[in-house]
Amino acid sequence: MRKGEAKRKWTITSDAFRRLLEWLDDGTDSDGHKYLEMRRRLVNYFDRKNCRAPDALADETLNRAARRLEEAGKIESEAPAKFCYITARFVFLEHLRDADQKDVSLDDRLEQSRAADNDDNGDERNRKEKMLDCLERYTARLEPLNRKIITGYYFGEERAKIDNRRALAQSLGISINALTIRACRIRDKLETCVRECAAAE
Amino acid sequence: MNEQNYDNQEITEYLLGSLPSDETERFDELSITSERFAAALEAAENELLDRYARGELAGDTLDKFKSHYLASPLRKDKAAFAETFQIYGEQYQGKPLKNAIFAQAKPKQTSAGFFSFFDSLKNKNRLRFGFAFAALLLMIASGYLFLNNQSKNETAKQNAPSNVQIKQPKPIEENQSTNANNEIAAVNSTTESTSPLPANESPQKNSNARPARTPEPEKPIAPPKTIVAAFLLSPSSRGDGELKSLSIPRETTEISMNLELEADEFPVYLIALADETGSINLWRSGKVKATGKGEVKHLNIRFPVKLLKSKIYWLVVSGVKTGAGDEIISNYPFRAVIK
Repeated sequence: MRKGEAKRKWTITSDAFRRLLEWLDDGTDSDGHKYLEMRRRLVNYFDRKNCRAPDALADETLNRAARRLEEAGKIESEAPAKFCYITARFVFLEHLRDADQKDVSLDDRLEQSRAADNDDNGDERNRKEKMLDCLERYTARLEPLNRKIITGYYFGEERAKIDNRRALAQSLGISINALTIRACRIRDKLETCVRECAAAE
Repeated sequence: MNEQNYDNQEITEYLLGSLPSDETERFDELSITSERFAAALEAAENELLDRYARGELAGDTLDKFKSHYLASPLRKDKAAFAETFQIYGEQYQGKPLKNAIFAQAKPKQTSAGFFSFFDSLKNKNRLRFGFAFAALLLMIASGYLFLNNQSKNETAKQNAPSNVQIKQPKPIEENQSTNANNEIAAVNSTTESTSPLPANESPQKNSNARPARTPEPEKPIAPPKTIVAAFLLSPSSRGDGELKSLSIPRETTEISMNLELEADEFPVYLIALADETGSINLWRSGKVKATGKGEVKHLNIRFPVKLLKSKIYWLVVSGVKTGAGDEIISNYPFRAVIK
């Protein structure tokens, strides 16, 4: 079997995955959070590059890092995040070069998107109604403090919102930046739950 | 890699695909390697999405948002969530809703408030015409109902023994009562709920299809009672600055709405009844065709009165064109007053 073919056929084992988690944790124990965060960043990176399957490309990137760890035992040349970025760039360039990958131009994607809009207008409304139901449900399930953060941070008129944020940060004893990060995290979780809930209903 | 050298504006341009390629590459790298930038990027993206959902993006930024940002299904999902999140936020704050779910087929023209549509009501001639038309309809309906009642009373007298109350199901029995608050009289009608006949079908037509009556008085059957209140509404852009109050008698079971169209430009229409916030659809019609002769066309719909409380509601009309989806064309706000 040629080297390239062997690489393509490589699949991640539980040992290799554990090693990947440890490497991403970089000496700490994040309980898998670092892996999830890196995967999320990679998905968003490929999505901003308008790749059609950002999840698959993010997984491919992390698989390559895991394979390298298995082959070399360790990666010392770069910090984990930097190595992931370099690998992601290669994955992206390969994705662009791939002759079989019939990449759709931005114009085509827009056209498809508009056509889908027209076809699914009613569905879209239903979906948004479901999303609103799910959002109400999941916001109600948030811990009171998290609910206070997300409503205090995002809602309100322009001036009032700024004052709300300041007062909220003060009451929690954290900086505005820390509050922003916390609000973003809660929103992100809420968005994931709502999307899954709306898709399931 | 210089981490500090970016600001919110640059991040927004990055999200909209407007940065030069070398800067884009720098931000690409930071988005994966820098905790701080990743957080700033996420916050800026949420801010951008919320501004879009609130209808605050304009000009070049809005164009780029639509042409670049919304090209990805994942980002489109984020925009859908942001819109829903805004709706939830407005509900949470107890504000009337600007950004109804079903109003998102069209970009928002203004950031106007709930009653701002009345500001656009300048065309007095059209308004006068609307009232004149309503009055005419009222007269026609009154005349028709009066004659109809007379005719049915006579039929009833002929068919029933003088001391037996008529309880036999009849296709339609309507009694008119006028209501000063409404543009058209509330109409009480008793009909078989399963009757396939439209409300304005003549009862004589139906009785022709029935087998001949036996001379004995039939066992009384209590039909499900349907009491219909009918109203005529003009689109919100045609109002007179006050929200229309529709007085609905408590015993009413169905509402019949006659919605006047500003223009009949679609083969069929869809109508949704939404709550005060505009975010919750309480009822949806099937495809409805406009009726009426001449330039003035109407959409006739019926829905159960149990959907309503004494609150403000919206009827939202979308025009449907084959292959082109549907488009919100008019809103008909009203205040239901259950008496």
